[in-house]
Amino acid sequence: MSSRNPSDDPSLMRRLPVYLLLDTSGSMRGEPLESVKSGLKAMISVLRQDPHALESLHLSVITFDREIKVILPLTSLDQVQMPEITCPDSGPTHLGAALEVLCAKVDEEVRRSSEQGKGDWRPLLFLMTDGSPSDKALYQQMIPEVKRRGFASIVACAAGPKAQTTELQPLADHVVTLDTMDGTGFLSFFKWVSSAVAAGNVSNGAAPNLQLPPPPPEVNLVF
Amino acid sequence: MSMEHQLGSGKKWLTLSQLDQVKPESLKADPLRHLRPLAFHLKELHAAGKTHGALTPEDVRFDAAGVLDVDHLKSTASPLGKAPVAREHLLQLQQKDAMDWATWLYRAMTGHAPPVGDDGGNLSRSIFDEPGSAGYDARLREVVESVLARGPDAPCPSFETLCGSLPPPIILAEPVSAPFLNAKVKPVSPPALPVQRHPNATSRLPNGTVSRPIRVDLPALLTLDTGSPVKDVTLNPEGFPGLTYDGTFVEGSPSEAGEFEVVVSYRFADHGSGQPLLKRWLTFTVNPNPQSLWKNLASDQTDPFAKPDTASFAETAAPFPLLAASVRGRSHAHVGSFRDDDFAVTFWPETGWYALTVADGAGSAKLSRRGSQIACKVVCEVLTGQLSSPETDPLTGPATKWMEDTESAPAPAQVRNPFYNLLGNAALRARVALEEEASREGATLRDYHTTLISVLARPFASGWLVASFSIGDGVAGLVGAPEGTIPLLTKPDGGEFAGQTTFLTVKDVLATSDSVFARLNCVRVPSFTALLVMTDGVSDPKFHAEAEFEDPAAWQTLWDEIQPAVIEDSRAVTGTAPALEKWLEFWSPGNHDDRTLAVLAPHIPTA
Repeated sequence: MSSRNPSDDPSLMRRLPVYLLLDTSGSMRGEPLESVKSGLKAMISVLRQDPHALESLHLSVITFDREIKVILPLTSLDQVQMPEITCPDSGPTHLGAALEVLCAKVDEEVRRSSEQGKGDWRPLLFLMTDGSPSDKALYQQMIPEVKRRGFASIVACAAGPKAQTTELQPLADHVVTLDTMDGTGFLSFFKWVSSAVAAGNVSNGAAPNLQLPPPPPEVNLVF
Repeated sequence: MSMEHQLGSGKKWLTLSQLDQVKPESLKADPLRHLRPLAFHLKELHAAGKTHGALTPEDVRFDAAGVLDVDHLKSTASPLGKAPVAREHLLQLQQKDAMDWATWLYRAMTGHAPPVGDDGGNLSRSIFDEPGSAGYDARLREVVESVLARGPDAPCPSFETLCGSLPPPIILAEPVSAPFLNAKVKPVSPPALPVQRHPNATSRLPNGTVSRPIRVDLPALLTLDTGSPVKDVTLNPEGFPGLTYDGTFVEGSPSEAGEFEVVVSYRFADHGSGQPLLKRWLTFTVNPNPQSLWKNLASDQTDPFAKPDTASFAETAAPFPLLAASVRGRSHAHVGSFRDDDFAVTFWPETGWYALTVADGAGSAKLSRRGSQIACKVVCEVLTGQLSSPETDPLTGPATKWMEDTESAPAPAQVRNPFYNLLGNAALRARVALEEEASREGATLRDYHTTLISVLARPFASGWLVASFSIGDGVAGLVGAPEGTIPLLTKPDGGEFAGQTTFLTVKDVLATSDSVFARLNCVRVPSFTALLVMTDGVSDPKFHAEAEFEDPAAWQTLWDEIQPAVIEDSRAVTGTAPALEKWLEFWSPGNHDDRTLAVLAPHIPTA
């Protein structure tokens, strides 16, 4: 063992990888997307005050509409500079393709334990969508693939009146709904995500799935 | 100032000039709050082929909610604006509307009228150079400049263009109170200017952390952002708290957490000094240093299952130093919960055996502090039951034979079996004790999840016999064994990801004799410097990969760190190990689990 220290060499530290999959389809355009952006900003701000998160949390943001964009590859929280998030005017919601990209990124980015290196903590996935996947066949195909990646928890948020919770239940461990797609709704959701992530940092892998903290009033736990 | 117009509905209005006098800070904080609706209205008016043509601050008025009184505006329009006019005349009047609007915007932002130059109507000084305007979005300032500083022959931008170039509505740091109509309200201190960034006119330094040094080549960063080499790079104000700028490098250690912005000026490298100085925002986010965020809250020592946050023990009666310490990790200290680790170290002078046991209660199991405690206690009792007297000692006889046997074979069955019986039985009895405790307390066995590592060691004429038994993570190993010896004694249980391990309390762990044997190891070594038994709170930060457990140099490096504390504690003969406790508080980012370490050190240098 060299006198290498995790302070000096980030590759020596166990990280908590958190993936956010955000629907940026046309129906999110305008206030909903602005609210998501503010919510994200607030979430990062809250997490920056938590020592666990500042040291271990790594965040990735993937948006999906017609295209899938990895707008933030897995990045240490202290280095996150959130790039611009945009919505096309209209178009399909390719959630299936998003899950495909997610699996590829997880395989590439998340470290598993090996002789040579320390494994990360089990990753977390938070998905937000306001509608239904347009690529249903691919979506169904990808569900078992996502499950195979070992997420400690998969939380799906069905935002607004058109979101379908039944479609999300086979994928997610927990499904929540947001009645309103405005600032307050998304802010509550993202703040709840922060506290769930903070809990994820602390609890060690003894329980098979992450115990989530109780959600705030704007966020309804469906399952 | 008493120009409130009472309408039939009892509505009250404030004109732009009144706002300027009564609540200038509201205008200054968010000039577009009132001037945006005006711009949009004028855009519609112009699009309909009309104009106002004679805007004065008295024509523009707002109600308590900040809504523009459009009827009033229309009623005060120049007669020329109401009737169809010749196109050039219309354009001139529309231009005048734009100039008036932009002038009010300028005034709101800087507090004074725009300084007019000799070339008729154009700004003699750029708004970017007005210190009062530094807090405003660059887009807003560019909009003002595009009207007021456009040059004598340039066309004035239409309201269509202007409206499209305005930055989006902002949220003030403090809400501006609605009753600005009441002139007697004491003015509050101006709300903090909102911080906004135009994506194309902002550069960002990589985020920093308080007290962590950085060094950034600023011209290089700007070159990347602008796409062309730059020169003459200066910052205004001087820079960021804790950092210095020498014309090339921004360096130092940030002294404050927060979001910071300065204006950076530069020229393109191939421009002469007569060319304009370009400006953009330079933003810098500084994170708090995590070390400063960790709290240390005392645990509730009145709890029926409370355990001290720190504990240690040193056996003063043993021929060789035998000691252990256990400290609560920062994750638990941050929320005031208990230490979940435990330990027991014993020496039996009657038979010469040493025992070192550590146990790590699972973080998510609510009574795991009790689980680790009971496990260590019961293992100790079972071992004592056999090893405190030569008559009941099942190990020494078979062990002696093997130690005298010069053939280098692995431990034969006659040696392994007594250890299997003793250690396997101790673990089993510990588990039974936990089942009984769970049943007494109305809890489940899962609530007591704990790992367990137990190591027995005894010196013989030809060397030492060391036997280990382990369930879960954490490790036991030997420092300074002869070359060719594998230092690792135990086989930690792990999974694909961090934190995945198994526990004494898991159903199948002791189910078959094979599973028990697999966890047992018996070795003989001519000598060693130290035997270390630790929970993963120590092994995780100190060994960087599984492969290092088999690297004698890694164990030696760890021992070098620990040795001074062990020497100090063994010489002090207090019965506790405060120096080792202190060592266990080492800082290692991302590693905040409880830490427990037991040490047997036959080769401590004597005083």
